[in-house]
Amino acid sequence: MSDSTKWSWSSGLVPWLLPIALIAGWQGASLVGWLPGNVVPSPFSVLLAGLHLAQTGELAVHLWESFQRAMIGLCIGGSIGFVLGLMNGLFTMSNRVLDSSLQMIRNIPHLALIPLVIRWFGIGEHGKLFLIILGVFFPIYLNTMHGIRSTDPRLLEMGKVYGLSPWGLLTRVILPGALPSILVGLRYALGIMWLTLIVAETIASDSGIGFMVMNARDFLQFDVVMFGILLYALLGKAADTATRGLEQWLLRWNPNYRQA
Amino acid sequence: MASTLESELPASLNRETLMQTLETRETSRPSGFAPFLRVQSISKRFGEREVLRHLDLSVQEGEMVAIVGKSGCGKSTLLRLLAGLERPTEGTISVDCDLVNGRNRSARLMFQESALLPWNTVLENVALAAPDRARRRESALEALRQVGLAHRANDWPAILSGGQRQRIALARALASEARLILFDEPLGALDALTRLEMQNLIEKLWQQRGFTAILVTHDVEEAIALADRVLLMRQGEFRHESLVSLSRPRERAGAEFAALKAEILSRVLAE
Repeated sequence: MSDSTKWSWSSGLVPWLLPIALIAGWQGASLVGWLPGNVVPSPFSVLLAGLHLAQTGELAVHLWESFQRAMIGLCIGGSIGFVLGLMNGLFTMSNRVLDSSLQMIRNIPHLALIPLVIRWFGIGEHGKLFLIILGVFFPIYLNTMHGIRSTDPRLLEMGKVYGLSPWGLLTRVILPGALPSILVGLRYALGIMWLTLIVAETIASDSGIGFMVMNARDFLQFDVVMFGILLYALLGKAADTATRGLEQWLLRWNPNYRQA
Repeated sequence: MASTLESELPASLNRETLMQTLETRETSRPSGFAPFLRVQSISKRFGEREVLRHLDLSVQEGEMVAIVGKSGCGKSTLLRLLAGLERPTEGTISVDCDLVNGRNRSARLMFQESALLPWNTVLENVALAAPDRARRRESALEALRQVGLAHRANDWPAILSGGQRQRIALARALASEARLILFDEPLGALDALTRLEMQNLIEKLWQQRGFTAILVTHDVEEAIALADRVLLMRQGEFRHESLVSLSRPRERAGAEFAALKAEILSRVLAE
């Protein structure tokens, strides 16, 4: 028993070894003087900058702003993607009408629209939300549609023989079967969501982490810049961990997703 | 008996002997001659290909009929028509004198692969079939007890063996309280020992519950072990019918069993 807990504890540590070593090396290089502080601030000064931002309350404000934008965009874009994916997965007719147009739009990098978005929406909230919605829409749309199209026909047949209604077929057979694919779409969407948010906030904003970083750059506070960048890494990792947890819980019936 | 069949049937087979064989089993059956399931001159074409040709079949309530034949002879298609998953190109199917139109509500199909929902527990899978919503859990548990797997009720199907999954599928068919259960090579993917166990289980449950059963199989021994009569199908037609009057449970090592098996096998392989 103690053997297995020891094993799982140390194996949980393994993924962190490399980042810890990198940071230690970085700190060492800064101390020795290989990395000048005004170009690459040391981890310690980055930490101090973070603590300072947290104390003044600035960090919480910007974090909350960014988080709100991200979530609203994800909810709206994700819902539209899910509904359209569902429709085009289920009905050949709507697929034929909509899918090729959507595939065309998909090939436009959504960040290429920034000049237009600024012209259309100004530099307020709507432009940023628009970009996030557009960014998260496609991965969720494509994966939902794919998941629904790859429903096991034998299970559908079984559902029909055992008298499931169309609604029952959807909720008991089609959607649970599509869920692994939908969750993959969600993970992709989260990655794109952060990326879009960073770019949008960097270009035109007066709040959020992106603004905080750009503002610090103007005042040559590179420790804050570095802190903001690390914050993005942490937020991305947190989002990924959350979806992994969601996968492990929702797909616990699937041996492939059971806790390793 | 349908007229097209009669020419090819052995002289011993007429309605009286058939009814006599059936009466040896103690299942309640409505009196009279109207068969429980009646298939009248059905044909099924997929494009140019004719899979079933003017097929007739009458099955009494509580009877177990086996259909054997080489693969591609149309036996699975017939089951799909009986289940209402496909519509016949011509002809009619009726249950208790009611015409089947669309899904056959009194029939449940058991597939070769168990077709369990992997994201539902064993119990939820069986409960899906129970017609009485208020008693779903109870009737599902009852059916699981009958196949001897009540202790796996809360497991995911993925961790069960193939034989256990087929038993769950059987429990699901039982829980539906269907009067007609269609078996589409349900044991085809199982190993020999598990298959033997399953055959005994199916026979026992069929005797207890008195449902009508149609068993499609390419295992002649299985057909003789379980069925009241064995129909031989070739190229979308019934070519031969054998009554199996051996007493149950059937002794497979017996001379009569072996003779019947040899006879049917030679007919299956002929041509």
